[in-house]
Amino acid sequence: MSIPIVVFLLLVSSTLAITYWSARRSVGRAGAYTAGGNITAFQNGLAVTGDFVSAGAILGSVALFFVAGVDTAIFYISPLVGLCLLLIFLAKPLRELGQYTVGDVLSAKLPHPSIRIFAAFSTIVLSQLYVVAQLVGAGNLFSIVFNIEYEQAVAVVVVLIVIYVAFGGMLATTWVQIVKAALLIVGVFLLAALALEKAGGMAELFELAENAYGSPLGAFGGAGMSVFSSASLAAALVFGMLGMPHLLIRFLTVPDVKAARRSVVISAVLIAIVLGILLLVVGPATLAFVKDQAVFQSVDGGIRGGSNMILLHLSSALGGELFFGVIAAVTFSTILAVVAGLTVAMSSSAARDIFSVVWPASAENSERLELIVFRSAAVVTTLIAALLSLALQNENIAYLSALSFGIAAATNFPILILAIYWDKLTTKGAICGGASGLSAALFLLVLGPTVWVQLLGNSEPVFPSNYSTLISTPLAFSVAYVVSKLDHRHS
Amino acid sequence: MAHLKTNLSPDAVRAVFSLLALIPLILFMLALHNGFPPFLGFSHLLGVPVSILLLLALMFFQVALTGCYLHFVAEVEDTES
Repeated sequence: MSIPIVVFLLLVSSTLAITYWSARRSVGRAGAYTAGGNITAFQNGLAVTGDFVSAGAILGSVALFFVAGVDTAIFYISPLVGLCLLLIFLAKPLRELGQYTVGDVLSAKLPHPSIRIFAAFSTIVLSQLYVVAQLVGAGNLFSIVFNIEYEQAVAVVVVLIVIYVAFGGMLATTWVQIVKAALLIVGVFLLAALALEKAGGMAELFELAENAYGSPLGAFGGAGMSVFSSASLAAALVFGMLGMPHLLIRFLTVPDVKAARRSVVISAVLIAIVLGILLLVVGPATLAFVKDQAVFQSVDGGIRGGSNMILLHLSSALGGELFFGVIAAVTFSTILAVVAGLTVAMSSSAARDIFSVVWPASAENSERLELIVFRSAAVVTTLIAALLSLALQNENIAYLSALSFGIAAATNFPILILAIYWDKLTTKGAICGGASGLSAALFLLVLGPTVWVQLLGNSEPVFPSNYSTLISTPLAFSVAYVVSKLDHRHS
Repeated sequence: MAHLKTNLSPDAVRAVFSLLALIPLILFMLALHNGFPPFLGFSHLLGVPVSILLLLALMFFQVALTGCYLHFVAEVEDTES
């Protein structure tokens, strides 16, 4: 049995042990949805770090550095801005108003049941897209590490996720995330140390990297993004942080507002350290040790296994098969943990914000039925995401992740901010605003270069950019404002 | 506990911190579209491109700002209320 397989089996066994331990402690609705609210600030900070530093952030952004150099920092600076705004505007009200889901927060301000259903719908749509990004990473990773088909790899992930979520709920998901975040931080430090050791120092590493890159690595503009695209992408990454449900529900797992706020700062420190090392050492190391190396090239001259696998190739170049196995296992645990968190967000929304609203049960039955729906939803949502990931297996996962951040920025973010800070928002206004933001984001996505040209085979995109947040988010705010004003006038 | 003595309303403090939080991103966008001195992308300090060092500084400014908001504003608000 090869080293990567042994490391992978050890990792999966430990996460299953965590799930078994959690399943014995997770009691009822609170245990399944929010780990009973007993997670400490430091643990939650680690879990938020783990949620944010997903396959998209780690595999995708390193792959982007390979082609776009320092422009990739848009993926590093924007989320830190988002975290700061999350602390300023949302951490306190989320913990005070929310119980289990984003729908709880909204319905504390807008009591009509339709707002819950809408919140659940948008949570499921945007989480699905993010899960697809992670599954694409998992499929590519698995097929390289174990030499199995992409479809088989995705199937393994789906089975593991269903076990984590259905049996261990949020407690298992949080502890898998904490373990993974700790492993990831250690893994990134090891990668950096080995890269510096192999190059002989920082200056030597940059010299090698710049030789391979072919132009000054510090020069901006390598990605060739238009002003609109880059501003729209930055807006998606900033405001998406304030609308991603799997991140928002993390603040419902801590006991009070103080812990919620402290966990934001702890996660900001940890995320900045990880992203800083990616920017300063790991990104340049991929150019120095992977680019133009025949062993990492496919027959068509591209990167073997696709660009998302550049980080794995770097680990192989730096530490051989053993280190490759360790980094592959850490990356895989990243994917498992993030997908588990997203699945909890989707399943709890389906059970609490759709099922219990549409089919209200008697008090003694409601919790039992809700938990059955929660577990069933975990199966259904991961299966749908698995099917979608088969169609999108060659997409860059940083791009796919950014799309879901864009949808979060156009739906959940405007509604949450208006519901919390504007007393005149009405239920109609919130739903119309959120629906228009969601529709605009999806519509412009279809008309953009990736779907319209690459997937549908048209020659020119109707909408020139893959990112539409600069249009869809202001549209959501405007529609929510106008409809709420009209609603007040009519009533 | 040391904290900011200010006559600003909580909304104004939030607005000031939000604007400060956006500064690193605005500087990055300027750099991305060549509104920043282009020589920064070509010069090195201890072998590292200056632009990468500046980006790291902007990231850690962001973290420091988040810590400052927690320490000087949020926890003081909680204590007073």
